[in-house]
Amino acid sequence: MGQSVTRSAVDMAVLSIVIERPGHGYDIGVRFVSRFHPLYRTTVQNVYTNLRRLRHAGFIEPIDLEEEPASQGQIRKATFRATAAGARGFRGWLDSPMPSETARRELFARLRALRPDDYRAMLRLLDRYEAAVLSSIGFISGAQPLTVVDDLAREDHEALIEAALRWSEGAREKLRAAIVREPGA
Amino acid sequence: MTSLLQLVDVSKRYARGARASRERIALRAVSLEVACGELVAVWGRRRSGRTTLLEICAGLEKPSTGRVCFAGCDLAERRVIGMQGGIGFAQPHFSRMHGVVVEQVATPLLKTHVRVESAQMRAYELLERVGAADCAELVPDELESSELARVTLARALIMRPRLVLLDAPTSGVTAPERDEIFALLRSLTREDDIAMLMTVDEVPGLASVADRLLSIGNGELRGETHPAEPAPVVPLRRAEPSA
Repeated sequence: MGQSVTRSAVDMAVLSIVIERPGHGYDIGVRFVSRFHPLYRTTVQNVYTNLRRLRHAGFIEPIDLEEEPASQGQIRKATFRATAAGARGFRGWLDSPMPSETARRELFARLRALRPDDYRAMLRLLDRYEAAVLSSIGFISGAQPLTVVDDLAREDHEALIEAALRWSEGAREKLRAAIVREPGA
Repeated sequence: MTSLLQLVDVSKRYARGARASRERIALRAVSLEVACGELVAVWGRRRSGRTTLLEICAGLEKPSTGRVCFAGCDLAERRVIGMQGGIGFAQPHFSRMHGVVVEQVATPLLKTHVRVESAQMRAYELLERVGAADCAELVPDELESSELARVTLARALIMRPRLVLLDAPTSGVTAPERDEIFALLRSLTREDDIAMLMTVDEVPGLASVADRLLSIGNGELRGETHPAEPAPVVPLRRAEPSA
């Protein structure tokens, strides 16, 4: 089994589905589309490609759950489960810095990959998201705009940063409120 | 770049009301470094902890826990702090002071026994430098927002500080005025090697001025990188029962 590391967000999102519950390819594909659409506009069939990459990376492995052998002419459906390396890879992905240029998509991929009531982990993801957003000002700072379009692009980027920061503040308040409402809080 | 200002795990709590047991946390374990000649902007809303952060950096407030170092010395151990200790603070309540602008700008210098004429000469020079020479003989109440921002900056610069703290300097100004003020701040950091820590409540225009952008909310400073910080362990999602 190959050990090349995959850190593609889509692969990791598929991996989260396998970690949640082992399943065969079609089942994983259906659950993936149900949870991550429209963030990822991938089809159930496309998920097989991600599963192949995850298997090649050693993050998932096939297991045999069928008691009866497949009858003649019927293809046995492989059931996949996450390996220990897969669990480590998944945690590593959640903890890794987000790429600034795709931070928003990454954030939602990671949020959806978490347990829906894991609000503290979600707050930590917001930290990473905000760090990515804040650092993106470096892409546009310093250089003097040469043209009106350069200037418009800079203004657009600044407006997006501000919108992201304001949204992030509101999201934190909601998550903190959810933590307070938790039983035993 | 050399670190000029360093905050390590700084927290600040204020007692609320008569009971000291009730408290408000204004800053939570804030760590920050500002290098010589660097301009760091901190975006935050009101009551986010942004003004407390500046007051602690200026030495006007003591942190409840943590350490603040300026130019290699712990601020708690410095005998001279604030404007006479190399830190200029462009405070927003400048307009509540009495006297004409040039006198107000010169005031910190007068406290060091500099002659009035020399102090006012320096104040005039600085007002010229920040583009507010026309405001010299006005009283602060007569100033427009953008003029007030420039005059406040001139006052913060009077003691030739190495670090200037600015609390929302472009609050209430128009976009063209804001861009002019940011250009002024940029030239001060570049030409005079002054470090600046500035709070802002909006991002537009910052790309032309800020070396780094951080944010503050609920007393937590975000966006500062901590290379030694271990990554938090995020628990795995639990399997849900099959449908």
